[in-house]
Amino acid sequence: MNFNSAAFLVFLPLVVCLYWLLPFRARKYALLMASWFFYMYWNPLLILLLLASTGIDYLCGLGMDRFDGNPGKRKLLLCVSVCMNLGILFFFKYWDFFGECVSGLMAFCGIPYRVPSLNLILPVGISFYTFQTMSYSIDVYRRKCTPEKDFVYFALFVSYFPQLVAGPIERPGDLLPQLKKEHRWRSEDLKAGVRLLLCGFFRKCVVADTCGIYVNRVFDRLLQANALAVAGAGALFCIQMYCDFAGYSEIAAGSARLMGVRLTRNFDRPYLSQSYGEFFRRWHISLNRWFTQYLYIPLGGSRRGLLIRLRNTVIVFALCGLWHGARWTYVLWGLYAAFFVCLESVLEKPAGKITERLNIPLNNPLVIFTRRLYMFLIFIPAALLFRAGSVQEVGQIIQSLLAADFSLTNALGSLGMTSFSIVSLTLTLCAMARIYDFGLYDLPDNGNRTEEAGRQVSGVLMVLVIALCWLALLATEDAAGFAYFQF
Amino acid sequence: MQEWVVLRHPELVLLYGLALLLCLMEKKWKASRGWLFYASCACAAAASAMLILQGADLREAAAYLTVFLLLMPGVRA
Repeated sequence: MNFNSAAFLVFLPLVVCLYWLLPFRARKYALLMASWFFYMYWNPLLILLLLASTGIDYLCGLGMDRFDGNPGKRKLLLCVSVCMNLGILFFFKYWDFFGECVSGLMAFCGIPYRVPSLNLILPVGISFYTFQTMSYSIDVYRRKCTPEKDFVYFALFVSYFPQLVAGPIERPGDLLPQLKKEHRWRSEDLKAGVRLLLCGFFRKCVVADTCGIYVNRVFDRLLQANALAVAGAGALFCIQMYCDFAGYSEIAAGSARLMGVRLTRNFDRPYLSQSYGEFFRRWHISLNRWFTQYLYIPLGGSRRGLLIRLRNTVIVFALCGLWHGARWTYVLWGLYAAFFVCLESVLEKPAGKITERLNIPLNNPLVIFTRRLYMFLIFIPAALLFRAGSVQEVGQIIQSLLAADFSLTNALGSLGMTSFSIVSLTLTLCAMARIYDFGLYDLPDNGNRTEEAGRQVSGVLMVLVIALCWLALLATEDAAGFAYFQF
Repeated sequence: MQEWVVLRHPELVLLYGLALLLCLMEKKWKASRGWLFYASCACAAAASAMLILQGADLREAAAYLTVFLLLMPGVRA
C-alpha cells in the first residue's frame, strides 16, 4: 500500500481510530494485524519473508539472553542472525547482479559458465527491515538493549507499518519502549501528526512528482537532450529525490505521531549543508547512523590515522551505494560521494590554515552561500548517477554534457517546459522553501489571532493544493510510487 | 495542456484579485483579526473551482492557490 494511494487514506484513519478505541492490551494485536495487512497489500506471500526474519531474530535475541555467560554461544547466535538477514537480502536483491558479474568474469577468462538468473520479485522494503532487525541483534549482543520477550511487541517493532517499507531504520532502544508504552490521547499529538502528514504529502504530491515529470522527459530521450537540459534534470532530480524521501519520512512520522509514537528525524535540511560530510549527516540520518555504528566504527572509524579513515570511508560509501540497489550506478554514486568526503578530510587542515591566514570569516553570509552552492553543484552529478538506469546511460549523460550545447530553447524543449510550467514550478519550489519547518515544530500560540488564522488558512490551502496536484497526477498517470520503496 | 485559462475569463481574474486584496489588507494592516484571511481563502477556492469548471488544468488552479499559500503568515517557525 503506497502512502499516496487512496487505500492508505482509508487505512490510516481506520487504524488510528481503532488504536484509540481499543483498550491498551488489545492495541498491540490490532497494530500488528494492521501492519501485516499493510505489507500484504502488495503481495501476500512476501509476509513469509518478514515472518522468517522476525522469528529468527526473536529466537536469537532470546538465545543470547539465555546464554548470557557464554560469549561463544552469544557470538554464534549473532552470526546466525546476521547471516540469515544478509542471506535473505543477498538472495532476493543481489543474486542476479552478482550472478551477472561472475558470468561476465568467467566469460572474460574464457570459461563458458553462466550463473542462473532467478528473476525474483524484490520484496518491498527488504533492505529496511533486515537492517532494523540486524540492529536489534547487534544491540542485544553488545548489551545495549535487553532482548524483547513478548513476540507480539517484537514483531511490531519489525513490522510497524509507518516505517516498515522505507524507514527510518529505528534502533530497538528508541522504538520498542514507545510501542510498549500506554499512550494517552493528546490533542498536541494529533495536531503535530496532521502537520507532518500535510507537509509530507505536499513534498511528495506537489513538489517531487511535479519535478519528476520533467526529469522523466529528459531521461526518456537522453540522446536528444543537450547539456543544459541534462544539468537541469539533475538539479530537479536533487529536489525530487529529497522531497520524495523526506516526504515519505514525514508521512511516516506523522502517521506514527497520530498514535503517540515519535520516529527518528530522517532529514535535517540537507541542502543547507556546507560540506559533503555534513550533507551525509543530514541526509537519510537513520541509514547513515546505522552504517556509522555497525560498520564504520567497528572498522576503526577515524581514530587510526588518515589512511585507515579514508579506507573506511570508501568501504562504507560503496556499501551504502550498493544498499540502494543492485546496480553499478549505485556503486559509482557511493564512490563519487566517498571521493568528495575523503577530499574534504584530506583538505580539512590545510584549508583551515589558509582561511585563517587570509582572514576569511567562515560565518560570513557570502562564504556560507558559496559553500552551500558548491555542495549543491557537486551533488548534481551524484544525483544523475543515482537516476541513471545503467552504466550505458551514464555514458550518454557524459556524452550530452561534453557536447556542451547550452541552448536554452533546446533545453526547455527537452524538459517539456512552457512559460506556464516555469511559473508553476517556481511557485512550487518557493512554497516548498516556505513550508520547510511547517511539519516539525509545534508553533507557540502567541495570542496573535491574525497569525493563527493565517496558519489555519495555510493548512486548508495545502490540502487543496495537494488534492489538485494528486488528482492531476492520477489523471495524467504521472503519479509515482515512493522511490525508496524499491530499496 | 491548456494554459493560462484564467486570462480568458476576466471575472475569474477579478475574483482572484479580490482574494489577493483581502489577503494583503489583512497582512498589511491587520484589518480584521484574521477574518479577511478566511474570506480571501474562500474567494480563492471559489475562483479555482470555477476555473476548473471552465476547463482549466488542475495544476493551473493549484498554482494560483500556491500564491496564497506563499502569502500566508505563520507557516514558518
